Amino acid sequence: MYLLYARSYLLVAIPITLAGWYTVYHNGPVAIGGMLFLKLASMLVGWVGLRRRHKKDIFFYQNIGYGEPRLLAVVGAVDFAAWLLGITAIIISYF
Amino acid sequence: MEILLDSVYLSFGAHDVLQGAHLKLVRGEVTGMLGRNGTGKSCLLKILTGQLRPENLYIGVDGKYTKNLYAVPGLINYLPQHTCHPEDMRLGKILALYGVDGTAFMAEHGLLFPEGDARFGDLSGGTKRLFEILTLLAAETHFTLLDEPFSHIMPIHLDYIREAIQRSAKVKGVLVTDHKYQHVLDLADTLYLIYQGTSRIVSGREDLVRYGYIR
Repeated sequence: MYLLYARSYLLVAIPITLAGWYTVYHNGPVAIGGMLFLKLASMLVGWVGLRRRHKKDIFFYQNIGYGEPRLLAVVGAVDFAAWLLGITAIIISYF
Repeated sequence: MEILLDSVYLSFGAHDVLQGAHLKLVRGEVTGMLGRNGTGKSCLLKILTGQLRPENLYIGVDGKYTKNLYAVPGLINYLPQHTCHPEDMRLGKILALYGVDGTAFMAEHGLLFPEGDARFGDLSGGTKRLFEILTLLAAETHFTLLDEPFSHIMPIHLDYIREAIQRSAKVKGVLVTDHKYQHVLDLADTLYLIYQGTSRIVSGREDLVRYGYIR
């Protein structure tokens, strides 16, 4: 259900995560700050986009037990955790 | 089981919309809600479903204060005025997500949906509405809230919906609000009229005339 809700979000989030990993891999830890800012900014824009996109069908999700705060929180948390995991792995390999 | 919405005060700037409105939904009954445009009917539904936060509000389920009705599993489902299901999802999938037995549903209502397991977006506007109403009524919640269920429905299906609501009201509570007041009047065990910021229980056509809802 989360994937169904977040499809459009993932189309933007995945390239941004990959771009972040690529940049940190090539430029080292110095790039983390900028990439973190980009990730957080894209998450905010993504949440706004998700709320707009699902303005009409959010009641369907609510009816089957997935409230909007929960959907947004899980999507954001998983997205950020994946980004962070990748960055951590890159930093460990860097040293 | 009952849901009580009480002491609702809502204003937009200097405009007081609701001033002490109340509403009681009882499982096993159809509750009707009527009111002229702008009196706050939709606002009350939005308050019930947590979309709108008024200045003052009490919501209780069987006497216990409840902040968010959706937070109580299986308590309510809600159909807004517009269609609200993903266009690319198949009907069978939607039914399954609501916990409705798709085979039994199609055996009962299949003639209305000759496309079979089509995508929701492939249905016509009226058929979408019909499918949504029947699905929400069939879902195992204690209450179903229907905002304008008779809009966009062709006349031949209006009685079908009325009968479906009556059948469902034997096992759940149903709230219906619609400007097609005769249907609401016929269905409702308890009928509320939203009038001058408050809700009044009315008993029939004469009361609706007295309060200026109809002539």
